[in-house]
Amino acid sequence: MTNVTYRIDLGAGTNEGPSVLRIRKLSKSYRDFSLQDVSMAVPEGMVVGLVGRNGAGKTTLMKCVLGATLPDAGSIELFGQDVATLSDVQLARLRERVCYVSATISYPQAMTTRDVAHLYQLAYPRFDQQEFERLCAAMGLDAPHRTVSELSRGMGMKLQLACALATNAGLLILDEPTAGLDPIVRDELLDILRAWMGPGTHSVLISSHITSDLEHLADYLVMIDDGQVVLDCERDIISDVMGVANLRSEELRHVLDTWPFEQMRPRVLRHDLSWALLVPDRTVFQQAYPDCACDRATIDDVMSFVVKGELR
Amino acid sequence: MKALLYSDWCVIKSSIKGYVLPALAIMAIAGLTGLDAVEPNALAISSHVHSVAVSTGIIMLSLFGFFGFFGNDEREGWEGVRLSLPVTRRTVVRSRYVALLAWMGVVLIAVNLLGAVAGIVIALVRYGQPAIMPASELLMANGAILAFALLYVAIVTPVFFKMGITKARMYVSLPFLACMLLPLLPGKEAIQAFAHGMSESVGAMGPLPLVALALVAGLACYAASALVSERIYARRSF
Repeated sequence: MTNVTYRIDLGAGTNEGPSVLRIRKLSKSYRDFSLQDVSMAVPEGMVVGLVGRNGAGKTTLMKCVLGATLPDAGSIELFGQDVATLSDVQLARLRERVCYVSATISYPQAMTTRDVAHLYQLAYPRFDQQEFERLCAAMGLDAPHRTVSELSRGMGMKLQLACALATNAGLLILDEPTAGLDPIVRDELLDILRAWMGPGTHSVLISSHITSDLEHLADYLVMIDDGQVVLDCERDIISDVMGVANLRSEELRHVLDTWPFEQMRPRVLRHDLSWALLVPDRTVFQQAYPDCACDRATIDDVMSFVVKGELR
Repeated sequence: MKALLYSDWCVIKSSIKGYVLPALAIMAIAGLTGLDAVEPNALAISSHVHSVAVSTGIIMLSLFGFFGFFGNDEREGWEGVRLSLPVTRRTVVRSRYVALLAWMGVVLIAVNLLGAVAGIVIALVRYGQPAIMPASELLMANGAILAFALLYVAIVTPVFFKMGITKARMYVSLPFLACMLLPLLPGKEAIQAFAHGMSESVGAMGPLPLVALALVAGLACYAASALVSERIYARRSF
């Protein structure tokens, strides 16, 4: 495992202001992987996108929040309450305000759509059956007697989302909800999620490696790699502030010698005939190096630099 | 707890058909195999049929249900997702023990009805007169088998909560092996003397107190097992 030795610090991250979920210095070790000192938050009424390559630690982090995995160190606050200080019953009551959508359709395969809704009704006191039926109708999920094993992946994800949204949870945690879905179903799911977010009383933590989903949905992005948070910022900072400069070798040497950004060490990617350089502030960069081209950055660009890039 | 019991109910409801046919086949084979040793009268054959139904039915169907529940937990990661529901880990364990006990209760009633009807019909067809197993023998058979089933489930369930069905199924036969190895242990004379003394004193009680004692012991082990499972499951990560 490589050790990520630095973090891209752009300010305006999730740790500022009130939040429904706050994670502080969370660690969890397995034989071949560990989450290390992860700190992040989900601000109230906001969507936080958790990005990172497969195996980066996104699901482990979510499982820690949900209580399925027990962390080795660190703290988790849900709705302002440290979960470690709560009794099991108090925690279960608090979790009535949290709902989870798994990356796989995990309900018992023999359950019908109607059974799953009934399960949620029994588990979540605020489950709204009418809202569930409305969501099912809106999503074309009209087979109450079909079992989970008979549902396609798209239909299964719709069922999970309909159940989760009908619980009226304050915090929704979604683990790769759009992975493996065709673009039409993916857009449908995201539209429904956006509509649900409307009034601003709901908060969402969503992990995905389909970064285009997050570009349209997330307010904040937290990038995780090798079990560490490497970027935590407002989504707009990536597209509006950050940039990618394509440089020849001599240009790169000059830029590295006069690097003007103290908050971030330079990260470069080697191409066939040139170098790409991740720039934390496009405007400042272009003022400093007017002869070097610098384009807007995307989440994919930043991920590529984090995963494959070279620190200088 | 209701939500978890409901999910277990949905699992067992969908699996019943799959359990019943093999259980019936094994009951039939066991019943026919021992038929030659049965005295040729209506009461004896009815009792034989009924006791075979009870012994094979309770053991087999209880185990089918047990593996059905735990097998379903691991399918598609349900055991992890289940913990994201607003339930405590203690509730997960307790609901499973309640579900298993309820399932054994249903099985007990069903196999007794089946055994009684089958015994009456076979006695009627073969000897021209209906007969049913005497109540005292019925209680003895049911009590002994149920106590055994409870004890077995009490021993293996914490292992399943500790490591899940995929790993734990390797240890399913350990209680049987332990029983087989018991006579080889040093100090076996003391164990045998204890067992002999127990059987003599217990045997002197008559069938009803014996059944009651066996069931109470089985239930006590079952309750203790639930407490052990709660502790184990509280530390498990998914």
